[in-house]
Amino acid sequence: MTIVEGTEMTVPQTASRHIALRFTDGQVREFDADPGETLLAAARRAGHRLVSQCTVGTCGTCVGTLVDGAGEMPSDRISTLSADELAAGQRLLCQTRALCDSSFDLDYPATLLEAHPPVGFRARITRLTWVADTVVELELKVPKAIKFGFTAGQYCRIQVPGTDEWRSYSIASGEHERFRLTFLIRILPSGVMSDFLRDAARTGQSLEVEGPLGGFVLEPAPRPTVLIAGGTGLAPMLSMLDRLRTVQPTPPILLLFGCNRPAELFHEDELAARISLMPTLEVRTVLMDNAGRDDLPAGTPLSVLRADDVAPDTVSYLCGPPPMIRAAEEQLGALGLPAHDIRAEQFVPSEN
Amino acid sequence: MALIESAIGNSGKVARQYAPYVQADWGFANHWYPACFSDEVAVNGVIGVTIGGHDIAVTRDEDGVVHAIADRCLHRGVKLSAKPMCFANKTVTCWYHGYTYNAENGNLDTIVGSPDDHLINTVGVRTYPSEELAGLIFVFVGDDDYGTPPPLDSDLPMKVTDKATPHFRDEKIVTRGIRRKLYGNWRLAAENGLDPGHLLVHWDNQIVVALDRAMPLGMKALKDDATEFVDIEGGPKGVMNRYDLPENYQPVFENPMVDIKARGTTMYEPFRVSCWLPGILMVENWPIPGITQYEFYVPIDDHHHMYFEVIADRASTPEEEKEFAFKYENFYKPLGLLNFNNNDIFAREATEEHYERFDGWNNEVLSNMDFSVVAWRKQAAKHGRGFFQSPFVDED
Repeated sequence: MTIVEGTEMTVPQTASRHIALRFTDGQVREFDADPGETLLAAARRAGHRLVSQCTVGTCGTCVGTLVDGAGEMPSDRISTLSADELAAGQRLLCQTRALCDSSFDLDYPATLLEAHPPVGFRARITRLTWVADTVVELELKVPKAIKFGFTAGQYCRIQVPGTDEWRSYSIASGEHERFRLTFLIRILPSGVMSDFLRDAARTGQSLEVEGPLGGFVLEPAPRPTVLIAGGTGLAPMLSMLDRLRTVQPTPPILLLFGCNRPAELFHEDELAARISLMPTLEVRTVLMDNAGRDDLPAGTPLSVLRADDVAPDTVSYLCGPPPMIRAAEEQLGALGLPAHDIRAEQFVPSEN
Repeated sequence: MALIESAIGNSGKVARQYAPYVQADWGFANHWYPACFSDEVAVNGVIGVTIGGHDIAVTRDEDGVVHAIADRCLHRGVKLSAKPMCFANKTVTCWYHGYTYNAENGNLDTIVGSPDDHLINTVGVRTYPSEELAGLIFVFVGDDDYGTPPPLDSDLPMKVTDKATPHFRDEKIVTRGIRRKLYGNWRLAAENGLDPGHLLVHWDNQIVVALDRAMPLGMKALKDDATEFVDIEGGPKGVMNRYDLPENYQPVFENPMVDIKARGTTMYEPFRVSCWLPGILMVENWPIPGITQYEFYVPIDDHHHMYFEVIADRASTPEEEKEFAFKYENFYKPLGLLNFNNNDIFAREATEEHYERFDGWNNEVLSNMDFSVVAWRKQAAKHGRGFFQSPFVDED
């Protein structure tokens, strides 16, 4: 029995079919499928991940409902779908081939497809360390019951207790440490989060957190990598270094890190430790005003970027204040890096 | 930066210098680990082991070649090793519903009671590179997409040439040993083995008394580089306590403050101790001169490890092999591997609670004698090729 739903039509045998998948959150993914290709394979080829497990038609996870067009499943094998379900339009996408342009409804939101869907949870403060005059390192414990994972470079939103204010901070710890997140937070003379951390925050206290968020993510590859960080923009770079450490073969990595003045410089020991652990890592630390630290050059991270730091296959990640990002994009572009190999996350200062 | 000197103490700053090691609670991924002893896997036999959360079935085909495949049937997830079934050469059949896997590539070759099923040849289980050496079966365990594994020798202790003690790569090598699943994180085991400060644990051990051996109470490092960092290009990475060099270590034989003296009067060739990635101890000239004892601390999960205790010697003739077997059964094993090492196990189990439940890795007070432990942590942090992660969905 061949099951073809939909109206009678002339089915072209060679042309690719246009497929649309609609998720419960209203998002739609569109792609083309070749005549003999299963919809799951076609979606994957187009870069769309769908919920599926066995890929051989036995688990029933990838079920979708045909709303328009025609989709055919193999007739010579037992399916986990009953005749009634098939008649109602249900199809296993790992087995279904479209006979014409078709669309399907899926019973889950598109966000489920993200590697690490954001979750909200309460996290306990396990450590709060002043690492410089204006920088706090905050460590939060994620409850084990929370399914939390992230990709190096992403950030979380943290609520200032007792207020409706949320602030966003990049995760500084590595992907491997899913239950202990660290953040590097710049403390301003005034500001709700700064005031809280300076005056009220205590170990053991719980905070509302949401994450992971953001598309500034490391794509681990053995390509020469240039990381440019201004101030607490170092946070995502530390997380990325953690991941890059296990990339085989480990690529050459250059980290340019700048702070304003000696009292605001932090994590020198951390970076020294990273260098001792990572033979391919080079770090250049600079201070805008290096008075008292004449062992470090004065300037911005970009002032120590040299033309020969950038190879044709270099990829770069930038994190810091907008002027630094703009200047870095310009300079890296002039050195020949295409825009898609210059990835940036900029700090957006809060209103209060 | 003077890493070693500043590495003694108790602070997050110190732990940062080997942070990846602190994270490696499930062990370092993408390394060779011993799965079992050769004689545990008969032709068409199946042994199940767990390494860093990976359940692995080791089998031997009719040509004597070993293979390692995932020890989970695709169908309903039972362990293949729970009831070994190898009906055809180079296959492992699941005892539950007959899914039959190719031992070389993991392919689902057939299903015993459903030979026309569409699943056949469309799915399979993962395979792991495996090698057999000196009476042990080694498996390369880690990321599925890691690529070509580095040579097994990069994850074995180096072959020393100055004292020429027995090594796995020697011709005429003979080994015997035991393995046992123990409670405790693998790192506590590795550190205990290397630790020059733990000799007190062995002060009253039978083998020490029986041999009238002059076993020091401790070893005092005299130089910064008393523990040697060994980093061989493309080869083993580890640290070696050069107890054999008098300018490096001063053995401590008594402490009048507590009125204690080392027992024994027989001074032996020093039992040089070294520790290697991904977690292997080599003790040369132990339990007696001319013998090497190897210990592998293979992570099972974050709270258990497989403890391999292996005695290595050379034997050229059947008589020498017989003599080694006799000494192993009646001396090395009961007095060394069991009695003596049981004291080490007692100590590791006692530390587990502090390190795992009270975050001991970031909360410990190390002293001068921990010099080589810190050196090992740094070397492991630098050369670990990745991390194992919990495979469990409901806990970590």
